[in-house]
Amino acid sequence: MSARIAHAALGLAALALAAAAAAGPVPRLAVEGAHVHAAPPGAPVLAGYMTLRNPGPRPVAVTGASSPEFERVEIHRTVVRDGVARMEPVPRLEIAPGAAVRLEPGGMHLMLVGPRRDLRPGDRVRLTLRLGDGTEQALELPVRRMGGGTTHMHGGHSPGAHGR
Amino acid sequence: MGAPGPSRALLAAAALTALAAGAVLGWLVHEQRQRPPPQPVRVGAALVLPERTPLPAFRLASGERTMDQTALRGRWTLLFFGYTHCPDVCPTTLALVAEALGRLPPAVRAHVGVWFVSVDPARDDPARAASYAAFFGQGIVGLSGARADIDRLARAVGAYYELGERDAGGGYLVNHSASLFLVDPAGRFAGVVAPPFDAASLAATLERLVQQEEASP
Repeated sequence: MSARIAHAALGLAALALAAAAAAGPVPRLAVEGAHVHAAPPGAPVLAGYMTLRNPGPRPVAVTGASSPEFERVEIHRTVVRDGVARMEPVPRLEIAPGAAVRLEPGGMHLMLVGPRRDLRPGDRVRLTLRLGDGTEQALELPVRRMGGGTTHMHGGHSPGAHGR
Repeated sequence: MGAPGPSRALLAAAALTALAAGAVLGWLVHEQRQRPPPQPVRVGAALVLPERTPLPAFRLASGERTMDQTALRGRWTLLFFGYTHCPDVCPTTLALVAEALGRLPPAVRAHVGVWFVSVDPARDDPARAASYAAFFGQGIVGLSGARADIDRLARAVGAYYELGERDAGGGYLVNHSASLFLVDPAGRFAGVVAPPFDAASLAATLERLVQQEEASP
């Protein structure tokens, strides 16, 4: 009898382990509000936005991203200087322990180049963030219609505020 | 020495006149320096120019429709210069402008137009510019055309753009003005709305501009 129970317990433990393995490692970054802005049909480039929070004790860096829905994904930052908008690549986005970084319209964003199909509001985009330690984090971003208010394009100067 | 009196008096009078003229001139120059040049006036989120300049002749197209400087007459127009390969600034700005239009009372809305002018005619033909802009809202007119015409309009309002370097795939980004340029109902360049701005303040600004123009055309 007791051997049977032990056996069952072992089986359960194995199941739990398998479930944990299937769920993958604990994500390094807490991702909030991730979405892709719906763009006109045929738009060759779209943008993805989200807030990335690092709940861990060590810095986490995002070094790249990719998506099966796009030819390529780059992290960019829009900088408005003297009224002119420029885009700067962000090859490495470091997030300090406990800190959060916002990717938002008119600021930092994922530039999604070459959609493989027209994406409509309600569609979901699978996307993988590459992290500095060589691991990856998978996300799913709903496509949403834009709206809700402000550009975050800060005119003028921001000396030193945006190191690369 | 023995010169007749009148000529000496004449000389003296001439000298005095010259002195007086010099003084008056000096005073005028001084006055001119003292008087500040006319300043732009802030109307909500916009800076409105004290002296408005008519736009030069140009010829662009939206879809099949040819449009020139006369198409800007009869209402206020927001001009935005961008390109359809623009990931962030253009869609964000156009969505925001559309939201601002949606907040306007119908009577004011009828007096406001929006033009999205492509500064990337190599990739944006008039059809593409038109369908891109229309996605964001009814009545947002997308235009493209010959580079010379785009440049003439851009220069007239002080809009700036530069094409970026090509990447491995032949693509490129374009740096461009993020401001909205205002054209008044007489078709003159009238001012600028510079970022950052939001839909509510843009709507309030447009409403004031339309009302001011009605009060003092």
